[in-house]
Amino acid sequence: MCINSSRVISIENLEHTYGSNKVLHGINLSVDKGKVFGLLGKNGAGKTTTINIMMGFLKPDSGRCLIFDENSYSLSNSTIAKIALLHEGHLAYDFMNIDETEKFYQSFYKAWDKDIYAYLIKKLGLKRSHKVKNMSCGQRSQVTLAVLMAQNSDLLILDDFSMGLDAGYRRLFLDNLNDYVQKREKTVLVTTHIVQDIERFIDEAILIDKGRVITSGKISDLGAGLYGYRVDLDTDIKLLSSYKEVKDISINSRYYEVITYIKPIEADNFFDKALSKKIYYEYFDLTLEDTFIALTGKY
Amino acid sequence: MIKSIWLKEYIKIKKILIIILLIHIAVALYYFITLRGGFEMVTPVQIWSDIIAKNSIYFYRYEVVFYGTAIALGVFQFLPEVIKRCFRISCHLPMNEYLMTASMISFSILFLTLLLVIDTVLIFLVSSLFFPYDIYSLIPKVMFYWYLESVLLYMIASILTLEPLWKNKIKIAILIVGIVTLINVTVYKTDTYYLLIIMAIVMISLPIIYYPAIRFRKGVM
Repeated sequence: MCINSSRVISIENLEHTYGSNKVLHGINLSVDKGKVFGLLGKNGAGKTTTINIMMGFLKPDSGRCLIFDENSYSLSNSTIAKIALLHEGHLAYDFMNIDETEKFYQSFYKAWDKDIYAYLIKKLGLKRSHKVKNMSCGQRSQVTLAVLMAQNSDLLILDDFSMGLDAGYRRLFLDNLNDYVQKREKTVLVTTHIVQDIERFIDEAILIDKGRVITSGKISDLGAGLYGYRVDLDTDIKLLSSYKEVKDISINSRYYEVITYIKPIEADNFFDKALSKKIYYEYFDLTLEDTFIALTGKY
Repeated sequence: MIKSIWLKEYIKIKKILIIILLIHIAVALYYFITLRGGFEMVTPVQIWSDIIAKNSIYFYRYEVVFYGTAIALGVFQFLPEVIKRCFRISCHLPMNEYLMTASMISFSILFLTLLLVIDTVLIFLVSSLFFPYDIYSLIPKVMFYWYLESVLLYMIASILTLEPLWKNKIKIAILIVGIVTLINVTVYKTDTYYLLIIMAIVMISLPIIYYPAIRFRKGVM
């Protein structure tokens, strides 16, 4: 086994099946120390299954998953203490109040950071005797984030942090996390299907769909080879959808957005040929969400 | 760490624990009032003779209270863990999962033990006001038998609540009904032989909780 001290997560050819339903088809990914890594995919893509394997909640059918060079299915307690895990849906002991939550976790984590817990809780403006079960989704997410950060673990794994949060709380969550991660050089693996939020947060990402890797790499490279064109709404572009080079056509109140593999230099020729007429279009830069939709589809 | 798990369990089912404690004290009061009323109407010798002749256990209602307590503890302790998936959080704590599960069940078993002591002392005190020692001397032994059975019932309730698969719940339930029917043959339950059998069964049942717990940790959910 090759030990790479800067590698925090190493996954090779991960496969898993539920009954007769194969959900992971040879996933490969690696996350180095200090990186913020995105595991992106639509609902049912296999993100949570991958996280469950990473955390030892599932044994993969085949493949290898190492966390801090330990097999994820048999992580030692000292390694588990190095991983702060945000469970999907911001799972928390909702019968506890804010104070009890801190007292409970504090006893398990030697490096517990009281200050950061107090800082995030203060922002909530709630009494320390406030029960978690009486909080809104957003408030609960702040408490779980406070617990996560106060653990002061080397690796943070956030499974679908955006679930149930409105845009404001999603932004707040990421702002707090971003600041923390940058200052303390933590490694982060985040999964989500709401990709527009994390574009400015992650360094690298892997995009999976139906358990298969679609693309991976630096965030700026994920959409490499894809180009976006805006076309007036009064143009009939139905014919474009039959071309394999066209990955997505979206419509909004002002124009169509066509995402294709056609380079701008070839776009004139392509549209002329495909639609048998001259059309007016303009090029636009793709967002991560555009790339995501183009590569995984809308359904 | 064990203390922290106990604290978590206490916070989780605090209200249930208080209700249970009040019920147990209420039953002791009930016996005090009922016995006092009975002795006002009939001569003590008549009641004593009746009890001895029928070999009856006049504090028999404690049996149901103990069993109800055990089932309530098992259900209320583990149902939130399963429904709200809190057990996942517990499973990610930097603590051996066997020790974590053992800490959870030991909390309730300790509570049942505390109840045994409280109930035995209370009913012993109440009985000492109305009966000669020969009659109430059997209290600790009978109570201890009910305690052992309640520990067993607590384990059963916990296992069935924590078990994630309905098919397995049914299989375990059938197996348990068989065992309980087998041991529930004596009326007075004071025979040392039966006490030893039930103790052995309780000891055997304790590790069974690891079957659903470890599968929860290691992957059927």
